[in-house]
Amino acid sequence: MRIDSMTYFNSGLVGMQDNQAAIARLNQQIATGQKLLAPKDDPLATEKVLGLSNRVAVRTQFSSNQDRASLALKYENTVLTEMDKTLTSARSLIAGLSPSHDASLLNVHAQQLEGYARNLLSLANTRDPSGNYIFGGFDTVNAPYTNPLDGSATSTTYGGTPLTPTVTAPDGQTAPGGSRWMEIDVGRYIQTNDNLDSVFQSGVANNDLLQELDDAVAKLAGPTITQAEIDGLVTLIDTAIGNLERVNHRVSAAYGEVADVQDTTNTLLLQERNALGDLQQVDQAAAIVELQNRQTTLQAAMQAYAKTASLSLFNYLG
Amino acid sequence: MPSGILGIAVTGLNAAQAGIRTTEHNISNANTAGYRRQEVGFGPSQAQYSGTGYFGNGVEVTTVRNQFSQFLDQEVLLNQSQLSRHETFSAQASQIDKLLGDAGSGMSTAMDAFFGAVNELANDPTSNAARQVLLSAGNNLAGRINTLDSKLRDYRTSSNSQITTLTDSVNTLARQIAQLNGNISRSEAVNGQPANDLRDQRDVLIANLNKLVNVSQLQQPDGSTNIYIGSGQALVVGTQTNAMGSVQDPNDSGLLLPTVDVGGATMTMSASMITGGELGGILAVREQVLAPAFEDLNRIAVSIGLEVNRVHRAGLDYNLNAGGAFFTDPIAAAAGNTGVLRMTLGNDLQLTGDNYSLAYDGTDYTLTRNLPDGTTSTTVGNLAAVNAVASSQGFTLSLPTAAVAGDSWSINLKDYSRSMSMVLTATSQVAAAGSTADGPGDNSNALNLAALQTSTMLNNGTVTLASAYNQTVSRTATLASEADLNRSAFAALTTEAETAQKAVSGVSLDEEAANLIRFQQAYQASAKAIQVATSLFDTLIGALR
Repeated sequence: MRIDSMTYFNSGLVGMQDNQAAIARLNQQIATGQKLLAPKDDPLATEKVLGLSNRVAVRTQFSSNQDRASLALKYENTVLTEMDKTLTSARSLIAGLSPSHDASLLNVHAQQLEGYARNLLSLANTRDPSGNYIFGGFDTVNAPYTNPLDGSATSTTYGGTPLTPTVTAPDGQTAPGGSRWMEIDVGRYIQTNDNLDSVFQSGVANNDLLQELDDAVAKLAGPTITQAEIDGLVTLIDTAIGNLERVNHRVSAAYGEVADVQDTTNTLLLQERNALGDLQQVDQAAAIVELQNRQTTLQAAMQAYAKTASLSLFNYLG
Repeated sequence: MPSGILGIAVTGLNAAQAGIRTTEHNISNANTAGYRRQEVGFGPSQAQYSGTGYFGNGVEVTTVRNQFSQFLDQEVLLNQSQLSRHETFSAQASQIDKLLGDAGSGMSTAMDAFFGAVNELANDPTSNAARQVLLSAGNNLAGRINTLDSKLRDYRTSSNSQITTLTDSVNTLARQIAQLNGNISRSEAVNGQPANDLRDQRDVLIANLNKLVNVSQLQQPDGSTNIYIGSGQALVVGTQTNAMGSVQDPNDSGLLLPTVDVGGATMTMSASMITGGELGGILAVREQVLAPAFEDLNRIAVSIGLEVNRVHRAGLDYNLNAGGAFFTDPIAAAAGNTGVLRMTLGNDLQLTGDNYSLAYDGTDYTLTRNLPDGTTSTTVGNLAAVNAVASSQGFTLSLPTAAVAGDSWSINLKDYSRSMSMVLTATSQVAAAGSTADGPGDNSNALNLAALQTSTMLNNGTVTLASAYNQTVSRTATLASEADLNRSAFAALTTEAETAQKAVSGVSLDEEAANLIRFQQAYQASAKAIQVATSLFDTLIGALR
């Protein structure tokens, strides 16, 4: 076959250029650690990468939501536990009293009970670290519970979000007005706050916990308290403790649910990140081996060129 | 004339010289682009009859012709025009592919960040910081969409200037070819011999032209060649040329299409007519990559704008006022309107990307759609009748506050990805609370906003925002990678065809070296013959002395 001189010279060039392009690309892959330098390098893998990246982003966000939800629930749980302790202390204090006790002793107990009442009120008006009232529903800027606790007949008022109408989560759960949800997984919502209506029963005659405690403080200081009143108060506190524990159980259950979802989320997140890494990251060892190969081929191409380029019939014609 | 033994030897000398001369010409042009090696044609001179037979009269140079195969030349042109097309396509598609798919310039990260901020707002609805982050993320998302839009628009603009430049170059080359056509036919008519070097020059010009736009050619008996482009539109006929130009695309005022003036009429060339060369690549990438990317971007932007606004308006802001538009509302109300018009996203795949206007005259609504070709189509009737048309074009209209006669609105869906921006400016305007809230701690509307991230609102309610965008990216990536494959394939085919072509037409220095020796020896032999003839004469003269 006839080969013209230009083709003869250039044939070596194509090989060198191809190898150089491949080496440049390998260098870039090794330097960036990325297998796919542009989506077109592997459209199928790109689609997977984009889908996975998006899932990772969404899941990371849910993971962050879960952290926030569990923080809020943990905080509420701490407050409720403290409230429970205070109520239990108040109960044992009152249960141990009798109208026949010495007036000065009853007076001391009155002060102690007032302390408990004030503590309960301040716990009911707890604010989270950002300064938001946690038991006032959506009204986070005003203290939800007010009672002067001055022995007057003023009943406790609740100024937070009314409990009716109920509110509905995007997934259909309903809860009393003022309940807030957080999305902890796709379409899965968890209630992250509660109301203390069942505990304080504010404004309900004879069941208004703070007001009854305030009354008892005044009557102990009197002392005009009767055994029936003591018994009634103990019953009321028992009810309050029962209801408080019910609220706290909901909080603990929700906390547990978030923890479960968190486990799943973290496992999936790890898997997805690994899959993403497999798709995106270059296998350094393989890349370096290939680089070595390419270099060898390039050298061979250069040597072949140098050898063939010097061949010419003119060299032999004297 | 050359008769006798001395004369015959002289023809041999002359022939050897002609051979050496052509060989030198070949050697000198070994590196000239488009040069085809030339060969001297030798033939015996007219023989002389004597009673005993025909005596040869030596050699005669009949012609000098260049070596080529028309089939192989054609093969190179065909492959080369496709190679140029795919090179152009691949280069442009790769840029668009990189733009859409890159984390730094694509929409995915901005979209994730936006919904991340919405989630943080839902987690902490009273936090001013969370609201501020959401405002920034919204701005960033709208800004990212604007940037993508303007980059894609840049590619459109640059495709226009490329078309203008290319048609100019085509015209220049066509004029040069026509001029050479004239030179070739004249000199061949005068001398009756092929004008080898002029023909080579013309073929180089044709090859260059063919890289810009795929051509077909028709050889004429007088040595000139006619050049046709597209579906047979003549560009060069003998020494005449038809000029190429450009004209505004009737269906898209922002684009230019190439034209060719044939017989006084201007003919517009579409992508289906010009299938090769750089011009073919530009038209194809515009139609197959750029236009769909643009449509998708606008469609996704409109969907985000409409859906986010719909949810945001349903909520209450920090001060418990009704939420307003979050992103630019496509609907612009005329001054003095009483009615309030709202737009809801239907099947996004049916969105036209056109602008509309709606007017109410007290009894009927008139919906006017501005079609891309400059005409309008109108629908007149009650709201249900208008919506019957609107819903077939991807949206529905509603009037929370009834319209009165004289109210009118414009609906700007065209170029929404360019005009989209944040409407909210203050953190207190973010409507995180539901419609029944009595305090800023309500996050129910923020939850609804966050749910948009995972809701399947696009592609007629089948995929999420992120997947819809990913589909756009992967479609572009597939086209770009296909173009890369085609480019390598046609590069290989072109190289192969060129190698085959050069095997016929190219200069081989070794071959020329051998020829040089061959003619040198022929020359020496002829010279020897002269010497012999001389000594014969000397002998004869000596015998007579």
